[in-house]
Amino acid sequence: MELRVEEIKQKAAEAARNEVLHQTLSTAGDRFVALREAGFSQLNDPEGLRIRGRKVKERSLADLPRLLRLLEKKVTDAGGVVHWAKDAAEARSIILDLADRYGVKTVVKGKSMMTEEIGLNRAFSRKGIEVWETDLGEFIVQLADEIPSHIIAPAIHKNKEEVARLFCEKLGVPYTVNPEELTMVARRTLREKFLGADMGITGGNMLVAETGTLVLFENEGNIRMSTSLPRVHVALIGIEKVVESWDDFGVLLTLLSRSAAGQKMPTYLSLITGPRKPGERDGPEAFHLVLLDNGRSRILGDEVFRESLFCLRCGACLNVCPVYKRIGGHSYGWVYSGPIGILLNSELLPPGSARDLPYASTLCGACVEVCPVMIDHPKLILEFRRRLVEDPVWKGRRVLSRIVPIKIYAWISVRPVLFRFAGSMARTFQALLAPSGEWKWLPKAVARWGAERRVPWFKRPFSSRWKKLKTSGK
Amino acid sequence: MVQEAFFQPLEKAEDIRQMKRAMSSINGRRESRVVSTHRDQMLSRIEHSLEGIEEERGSKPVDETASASEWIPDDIPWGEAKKEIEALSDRFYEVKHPEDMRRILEDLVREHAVALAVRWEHPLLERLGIDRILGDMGVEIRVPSREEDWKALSAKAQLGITTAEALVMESGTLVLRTEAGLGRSTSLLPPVHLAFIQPSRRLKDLAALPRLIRSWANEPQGLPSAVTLITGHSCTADIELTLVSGVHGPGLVYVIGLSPGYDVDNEAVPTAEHQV
Repeated sequence: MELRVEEIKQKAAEAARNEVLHQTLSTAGDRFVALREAGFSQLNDPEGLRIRGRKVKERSLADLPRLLRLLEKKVTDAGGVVHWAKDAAEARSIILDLADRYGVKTVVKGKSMMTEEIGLNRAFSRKGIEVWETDLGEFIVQLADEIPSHIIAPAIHKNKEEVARLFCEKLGVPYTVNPEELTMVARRTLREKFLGADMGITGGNMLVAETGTLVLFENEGNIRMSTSLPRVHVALIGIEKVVESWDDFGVLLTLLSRSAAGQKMPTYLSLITGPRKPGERDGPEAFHLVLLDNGRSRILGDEVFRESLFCLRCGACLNVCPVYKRIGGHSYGWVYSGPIGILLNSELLPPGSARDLPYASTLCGACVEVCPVMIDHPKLILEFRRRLVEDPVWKGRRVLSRIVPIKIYAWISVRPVLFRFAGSMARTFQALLAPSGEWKWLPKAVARWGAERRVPWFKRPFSSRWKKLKTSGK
Repeated sequence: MVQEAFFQPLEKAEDIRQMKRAMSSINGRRESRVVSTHRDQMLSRIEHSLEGIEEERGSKPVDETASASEWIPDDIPWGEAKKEIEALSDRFYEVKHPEDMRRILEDLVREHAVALAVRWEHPLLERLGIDRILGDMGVEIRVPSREEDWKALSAKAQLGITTAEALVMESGTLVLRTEAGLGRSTSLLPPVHLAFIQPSRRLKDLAALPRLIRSWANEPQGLPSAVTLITGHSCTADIELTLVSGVHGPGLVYVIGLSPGYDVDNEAVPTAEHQV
């Protein structure tokens, strides 16, 4: 599916009219919020823990070059290979080269926002490599040719009837709306793929530099499968996910599992240090870690936006956001959604392609209250808005779309001959350009401007109609 | 300056940085790194971004004390772990006598129609005589060192048997180390996972985990290739938030906590055919 962040207004308008979606997201949001609250209420000092979590991220990012070098050394010592990718294209090329080198025909993937970010599935498909999303939600979304709409519940926008029709059509299984039976269909289909796959690809929740360990959270077991059964494991992870020590891990572990689903611990927590060792009968023979920048170092250099790199991807800010609950994840147009999506999409996409996103927020601040590392989303969103209006391109557009037309109008309106001539031109061409008050044809450059404006019907001036009106007695 | 760079196209910002680097070398100032590879380029870009950041850097002092002090005494009851494990809809049994063990395993085999089980090659399982007990019930037991295709076999088994290196009482979390003979698939592929845990291997809470992991990292062989922490069974709520068990891994976990001294007092004498 093509990701088109420019269409946010249209998608949001469509989603806002979808009452089923609104109901589903509200129910799910309330459930996640209750779970999170229950999880945090068991802690002695939740606020203290959030402060410690924030400190861990601040300290880790401030020391990133040293930690990355330490991590590289430790991963290499453990028999793994570290790759450095400055952008999405480089990451895709590294992973495709690896697939080529190992003669990979089938890939199984654990849930990873990073692989969505670099568009890895399409790259594999173009190479003729079979790729399977294995998290149930991601599997559903892949079959439907969509993108995830929630960080931890990717198919939250689909009801069971839609999933049943999808499985029926794509997997050729009998129609059933029983979630348990549908889940078992996925289990059987994917179990076969796990056992036959050559490469497992995962993201990562953390990297612990002191031992070169990749940390993976999950409840389903698909990540364990992807890291245990194929002969090659490739982990793609953003550079901002590295922490120094197991003590740092301990702080973030509690925050992340309780923020995501109110759990003390996820069902499975995998700590992966290199490939399998001699004598082991399962686990990958090769472990490759791809460290991705893709704009992160640029964000790191921005003293205000750096804070958005603290994000642990728990999804708590989505569940409390009134805008997310109304418009759903797809309206954000790219990989990330909700308040953190506004920040990450705006920061990571090419400048200018997500200009509407900072306005998809009420700035109510509910996200700050629940963020495990206290990211101040509204402050950052406001800063985005401020920079947008100061941005030369934005300013240029404003000059062209508002100031120049008004100046032209002012100039014409004080010249009666010219004014009458312009009026007659407008009346003549109006039927052609905007027959019913809506623009029929506009150059692409001003089409967005015109989409939100109705054209008044130009009439002949009253003075020229007076004589006719007088004689007709009206 | 920072604001302008943020909205510049990437290539342009990079050009400016490269120009600055070139200028600084012309001026005879020493570059922090010689830019030669992707890795070095990425690291130097990060270093450049961090220039002027005042935040605290450098290692925090690490607590290197051994994890031994974290283990809770054998005489503390299993109650908390039992409560946690049962709250996750899994099963916990404390076993004091061999008869209890036999009865629990009989029920398990019957309830889940176990005909084939795979197990770790761990001394505790051999001391407990698991092969003999299950063998008497007609269950076929297989171990990795004698198998050609261990993964395929594990996928066919109805039961996977492991021990656990540690159990966190606060959350009912099992901590499993991967080593030769102690594979990952045993606790993953069969629909039921059975884990045995000694009373001496219990941690009070999750706060003890960092020190336990670091103590393993400090051993000469370093951390195992995988450490797996298991809290409950495989589950999902991806379809309309309905909780479903066993989406990929086991749908049920049995944890058997041994009473203090159980495996010493009741050590099974392996028969020749069961010896590994």
